[in-house]
Amino acid sequence: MRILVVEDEVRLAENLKAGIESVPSFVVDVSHDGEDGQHLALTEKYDAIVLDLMLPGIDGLSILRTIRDSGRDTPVLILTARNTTEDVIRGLDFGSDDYLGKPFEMGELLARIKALVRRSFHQTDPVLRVADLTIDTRSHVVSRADKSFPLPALEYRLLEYLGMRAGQVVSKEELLEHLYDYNWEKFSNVIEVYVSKLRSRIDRGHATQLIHTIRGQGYVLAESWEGQ
Amino acid sequence: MSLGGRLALIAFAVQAVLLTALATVIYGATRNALYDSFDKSLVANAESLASLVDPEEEHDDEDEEAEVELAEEIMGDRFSRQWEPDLFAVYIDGDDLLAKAPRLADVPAFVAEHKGHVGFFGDDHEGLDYRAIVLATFRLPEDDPTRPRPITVYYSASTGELAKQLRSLGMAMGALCLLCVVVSGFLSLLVAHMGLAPLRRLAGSIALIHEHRLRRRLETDGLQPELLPIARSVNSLLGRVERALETERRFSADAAHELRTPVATLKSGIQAALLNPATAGGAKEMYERLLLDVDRLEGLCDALLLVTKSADEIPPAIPAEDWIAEIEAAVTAIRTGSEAGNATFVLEISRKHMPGEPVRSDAVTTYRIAANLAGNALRHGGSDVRVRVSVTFDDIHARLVVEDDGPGIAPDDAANLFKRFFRVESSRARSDGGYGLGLSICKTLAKTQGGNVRFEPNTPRGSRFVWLAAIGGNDAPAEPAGAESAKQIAFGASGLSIP
Repeated sequence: MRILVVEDEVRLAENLKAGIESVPSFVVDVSHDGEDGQHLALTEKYDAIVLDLMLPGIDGLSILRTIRDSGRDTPVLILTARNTTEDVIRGLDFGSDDYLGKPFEMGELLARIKALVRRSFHQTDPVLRVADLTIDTRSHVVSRADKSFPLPALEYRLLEYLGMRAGQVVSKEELLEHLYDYNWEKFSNVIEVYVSKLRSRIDRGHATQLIHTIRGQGYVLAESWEGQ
Repeated sequence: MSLGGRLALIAFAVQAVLLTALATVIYGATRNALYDSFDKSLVANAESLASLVDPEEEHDDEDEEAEVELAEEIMGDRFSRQWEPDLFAVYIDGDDLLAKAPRLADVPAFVAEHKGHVGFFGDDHEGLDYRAIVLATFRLPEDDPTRPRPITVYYSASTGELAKQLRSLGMAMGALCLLCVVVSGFLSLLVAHMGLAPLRRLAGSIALIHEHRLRRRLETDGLQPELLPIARSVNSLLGRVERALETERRFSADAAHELRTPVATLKSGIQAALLNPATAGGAKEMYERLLLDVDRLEGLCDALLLVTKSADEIPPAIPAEDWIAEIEAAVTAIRTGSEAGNATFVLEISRKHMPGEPVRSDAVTTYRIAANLAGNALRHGGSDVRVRVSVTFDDIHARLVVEDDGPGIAPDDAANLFKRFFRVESSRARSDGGYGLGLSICKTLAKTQGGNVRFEPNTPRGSRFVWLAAIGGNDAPAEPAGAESAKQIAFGASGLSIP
């Protein structure tokens, strides 16, 4: 999952990036001013945006308004020192999905981001299930047929994204857009490499293949794929 | 002495002087009128008597006797010749004084001066109980007709009755004057009291303005012209005080607000480090300790923001049930934190007399004060302290009492408990002693919403803190004041150290 943090306090933004990326699911882009943040929010595909309100250039509420006016429904969590009831009401009325005042508990922030992301994928259960595969988005433990196994961060991120969109075809471009931050050099075959690794961990030794390749379209995580 | 008393006293003194002067003038005029009347009567009688005497006519004893009889007929009892109580006469032979009245030492000189004339002597009536006139001087023949004996006859009448009447008049007027003075004194007090009523109403209006309601102003419409300058001056002063306090409040609020970001940076950095699997061992413990300090900083920021809220930002009062629920939540949180020790908590809630009107305390304040007081009891009561928290209501107050059987507070410390940055010795020694702001903040918050927090020694030992919250909406007259995790943020992980 790709998260955008728009925060002008450089050290706080760095801490946010470190904290959020401590969750294997997330990769974070950081912007330190309103104009850059708005540009990224409108041109890149993020699974959630953490938005400060008091920003140089364009303020947070204006960015939020612009995002919503553009038709994007990216979940937005406002993270600000302005946390009176009136501020919260105004932020939510402007189209934010959640609101958290500074200072904050990192654990609470992470839980809220996870909840926002889950909701955006219409997932209510923090444990994703596909056949006998379970992906616990809280503990990041993956297990199949009651046997859990560790996954490197990028593979877990890939699997969780596929799990969030279980049953849907996910293109390589989408995976590239959602699994890597802005600074990554995106090689065309990197997705194939990681899907291959993931498939060897998930499906090897099991009669039912869960990761399906749809030629020319992308990948599907599903118990079966009728379109193949 | 009060202003009303002084005004009444001044009015009383002025009226008393005026009344006394008036009574004196009336008495003097009456007295003079009476004496004038008396004197006129005296003169008339004397002239009647004198007309009977012909100085040129030779008199013999028979004539004299006849004239005296006539005089007695005219004057009645008031006439007699000599040494009678109502009449005296002096017999003068040439320049020799033959006899004199026993109480009239100056008669001879006066007679010598006024012989042959009709007039008064003894103009100064004081000390005399009679008034007399020289009637006539004529000669009485003696054995030798060529050498007649001159005789001057004086007519006098007693002023005793007149003096008695005047004394009665004086006493009556004195009594009347005294009565008037007493009545006027009472009326002066009454008038002063009534006259000062608008001033008292103005003072009452000023008394309703306290530090948390500085936007109020005195109503000047319909105010007496004499009080308008006072009201305008007070309103002007209130404006200046409000602006000064608002500036200070905004500065404090802005400072607390600005502190949130660096605190958030610090806290998120520590928490990110704790989330990093590479952080372990001693470094992890150090970060956790740092996190406690950051929590306290955070609690201070929150507290500072809360106490710098202006009256307009104070949330509305909450229903009594919600007030109880916040207290239960706070005590539960504190009790949960104390499970490691042997401390025991008892929470007693009495809904008897629970009001239909709301309690003047918002949810955050209620939680904060309850948690603060309960946390205090736990922190300072010792490892096996027994804490009793009770909630009761009466007609005008919701009452929270937190009492413990710990070592209590020394009398010297008790006087300073609610002062900012004051900590009792036991908490100074503690590493988590905090900043000594908790009770001060509690009291400020309670008073902001029309209540109060006070300390009482518990019996037989321990401490007892009482929070009285006013019943009614935020417009009611003041006394003569979320989730557990979110609230825990407000206190800091370990709560504010109190006191």
